[in-house]
Amino acid sequence: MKQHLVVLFSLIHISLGLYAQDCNNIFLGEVVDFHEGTPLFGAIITLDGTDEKATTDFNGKFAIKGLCNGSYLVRVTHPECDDTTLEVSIEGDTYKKIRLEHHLEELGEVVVTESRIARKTQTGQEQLLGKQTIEQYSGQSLGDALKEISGVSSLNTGSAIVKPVIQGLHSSRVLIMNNGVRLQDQEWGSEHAPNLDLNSTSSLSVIKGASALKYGGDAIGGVIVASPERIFPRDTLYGSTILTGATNGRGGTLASSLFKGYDTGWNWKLQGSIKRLGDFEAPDYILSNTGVFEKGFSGGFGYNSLEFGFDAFYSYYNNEIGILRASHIGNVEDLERALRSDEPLIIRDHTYDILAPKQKVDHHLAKINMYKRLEGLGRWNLQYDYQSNNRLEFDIRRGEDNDNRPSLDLTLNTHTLTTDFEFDAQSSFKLQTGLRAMYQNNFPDPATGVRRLIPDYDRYDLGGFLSGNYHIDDQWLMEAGIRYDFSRMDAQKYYDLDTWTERGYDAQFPEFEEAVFGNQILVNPVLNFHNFSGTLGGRYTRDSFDWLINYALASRAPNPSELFSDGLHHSAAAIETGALDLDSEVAHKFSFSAEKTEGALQFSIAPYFSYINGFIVLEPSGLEETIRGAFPVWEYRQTNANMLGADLDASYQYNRNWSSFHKFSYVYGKDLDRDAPLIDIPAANMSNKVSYNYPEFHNLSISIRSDYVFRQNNFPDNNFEIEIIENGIPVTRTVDLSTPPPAYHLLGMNTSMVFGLGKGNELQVALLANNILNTSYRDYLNRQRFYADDLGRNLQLQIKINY
Amino acid sequence: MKSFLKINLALVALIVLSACSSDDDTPEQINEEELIDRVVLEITDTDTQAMETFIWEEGATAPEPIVLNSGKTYAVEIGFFNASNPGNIIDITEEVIEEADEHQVFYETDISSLTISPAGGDFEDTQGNKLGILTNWSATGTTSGAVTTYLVHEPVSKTGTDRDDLGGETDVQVAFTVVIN
Repeated sequence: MKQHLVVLFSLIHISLGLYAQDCNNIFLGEVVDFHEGTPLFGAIITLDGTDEKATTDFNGKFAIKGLCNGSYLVRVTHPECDDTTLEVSIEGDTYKKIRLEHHLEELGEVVVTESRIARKTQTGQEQLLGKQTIEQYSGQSLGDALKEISGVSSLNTGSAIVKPVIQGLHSSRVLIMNNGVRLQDQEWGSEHAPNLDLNSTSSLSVIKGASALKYGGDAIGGVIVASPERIFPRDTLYGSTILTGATNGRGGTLASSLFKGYDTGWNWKLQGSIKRLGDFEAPDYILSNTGVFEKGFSGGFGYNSLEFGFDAFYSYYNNEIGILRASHIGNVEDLERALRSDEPLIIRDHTYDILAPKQKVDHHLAKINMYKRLEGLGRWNLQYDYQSNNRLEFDIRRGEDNDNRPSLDLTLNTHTLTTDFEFDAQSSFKLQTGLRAMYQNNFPDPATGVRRLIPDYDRYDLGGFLSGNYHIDDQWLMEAGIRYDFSRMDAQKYYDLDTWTERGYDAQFPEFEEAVFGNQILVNPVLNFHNFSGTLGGRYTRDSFDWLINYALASRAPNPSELFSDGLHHSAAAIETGALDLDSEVAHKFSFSAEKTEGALQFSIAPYFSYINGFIVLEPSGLEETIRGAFPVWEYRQTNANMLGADLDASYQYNRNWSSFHKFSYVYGKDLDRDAPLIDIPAANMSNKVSYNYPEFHNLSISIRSDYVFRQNNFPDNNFEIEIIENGIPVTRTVDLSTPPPAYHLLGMNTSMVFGLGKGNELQVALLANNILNTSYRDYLNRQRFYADDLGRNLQLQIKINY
Repeated sequence: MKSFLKINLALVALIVLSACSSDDDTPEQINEEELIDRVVLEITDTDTQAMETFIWEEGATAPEPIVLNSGKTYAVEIGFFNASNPGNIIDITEEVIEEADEHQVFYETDISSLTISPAGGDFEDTQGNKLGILTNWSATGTTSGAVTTYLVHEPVSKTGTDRDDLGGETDVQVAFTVVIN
């Protein structure tokens, strides 16, 4: 816990009239915490232009004698505080009351220590990535960086679309907060990576589970909190530029940032990045059409003071990502052919061109937030944010007009208003309560000429929460919270008349029917969801050990994809259908952590168990005969599921030069109704790193890293058989979509050195090597594993200038 | 505090307004343009010029078996259509011919005595490959089986004996039952 400190001067007017004379005034004061009024020891008070100096005693009191009448500049410093200067007018024995805000967090500093855990929840499982690690991943993506955290893996489509998976769960079950704004970027799709520029963040917190109710009650998987650089309210101007060049993809990334702070409390920041890569390469071949063009920009300004502050922020993110050409297939036979081949069926020369199939995404985010501190009570926050997300997907299409015409064009606009109040005036008791209202509109542009994957809809959310924690004594802490969310989905969708009746919707939802146009029916489903969530936990701290136990209840309304999907999924050769009658899924998660956070040996053991009622899964339900042959139909269905796993972390500092880091995670998921393992659960994985640091020589750092991913042995059997003609004879073939690829081991290395450039500027040069041995491998959670190997060796040279 | 409230109210107003202004307009209906849901085989006896038509249509019952007489040659023309809107049936075949370089029609059969070869007047792509729209079928013996017709988009190769040899994406894969007398 960070100490909440506030310095308060109180000049006590003492009637010294009898002795009053010039240059014999006494300046008496007391330094106390703003919230609790408790005295603060060790604050140094100096008067500018004099040698006068005083330090507060255990009662927070100080005295400076022998002052003349006049105006003095008083400077107050405290080891845990930011320097503060104020003007005091001494007029005889002058009385003046001064207030200082001492919440470092609010004033702009988040202490980011990777070995330590800066908590957003008090009792849940949580881990943090700092700026240094994030900068190493400047040339990669958010999902890649997050894999540094045990228990976080990724669901990939190729190597550029990287979706974070927390303890086996992803997509709508993982919330992403970007600078206080809940990202609304069509996260329901498994091929939709978060629309967030990693270079705009300076710290990443991962909360594994729903214990941080403030962010939402539907975080069944967890919450990723991306925070930008915070600027101190002091005169400062700094920034950095990072240039990363990569051999794999034959391109690079340029990221630059500039931060300006003023001692008046004002600040502004600007940040931009651009990434351009051509086709990536597997060890044995080019992964054709996997180029990336990504652009990000963000800027903001704000004002922070003791009692009031605001922040205005805007960010823009745009990417264009090529999808492996060989993964665009027409039917099940094409898929079977691809599975049978060791190599992708289309391999071309390396190029920077990004052709169809590809996706193009634009994301705008604008927010304004403000706070007002009420003395002795707490802090009130208010925020409005607006996001506009446009996603274009280009398929291989027939017809000249269709070369540059997307097959999917969705625009999602979201307005959110949030407000909360933190009662933090008591050191042992903190309470937070808040409300969130959201309006969202999805518009699928009919100009694509392709039936809408996701229909037009309006969504209204309203939620409120109350959470708090209580320090019973120095060792025990209790945490509890409750949240309610209402969600209304008002959609307009065309169904095939046949489909509508075949599924029995005509009998189940006659009230939704609007009109029949030819062989299509327009329906207006209005669906309401009431979700309750809550958390209860405890923490026991003793010596350098923390013991945490937490129960979290999370409820999630089905997403538009689960409700309305209706069509062919190209790279999976499957017809995916949503279900209008889905209910919210409700997860109960129990987690436990034992952590040692000090000393040469540090570790964390974090097992968990969850039971998910009404877990929404996509499961094969039969075959549908189409003009392209028979397709397997995958239907969204609700089941009950169990998940059981553990994340282990350990590090050891052998001496001042050598250290090592180890982590391991395992998760098992089971579909209880089907009595089968859940699909797409990350395999057990282990990572070990040995580091050598030699600060005396340009801060030299060398680390070698080994990543071992086991084979996933628990998977559902979704294979099916097809009959094809070979040499004029019909033969039966199994389409094996289920069997996971074998285990693999990757070796990596990081080397970095820092060179001073004078005037506080420095140059850092780093060489980052991934998959040094150029191992051919496929990952179970890469959707392109059916078609091609994963990335081969990649050498990155990174040059960073700090100024 | 006053200005705070004003901003607060403005924000609330903004959110309410944007919520209310959401259009309740009916979304435009989409009839897929590139859809193929009908494959037509026109089979002409080259001796008698008698023509029979076999139609495979998505969602409809399978067509009658194609009956061929042993020892005869039949001229077969294949057609692809978008019949999703009964009032406006679109002939996709023309588009396939226009984009001949990116397409190939392919036939596969398990009847060993049935020969399917491109017709002299078949359409060609810029490389002189015959597209497979017009074919000649001839068979011997008494047997039955199936002919699978494929429309392949962006094939890797335009020649081959198996569907595998062509690669590319399958836009159409439809089997017709064939009886040879």
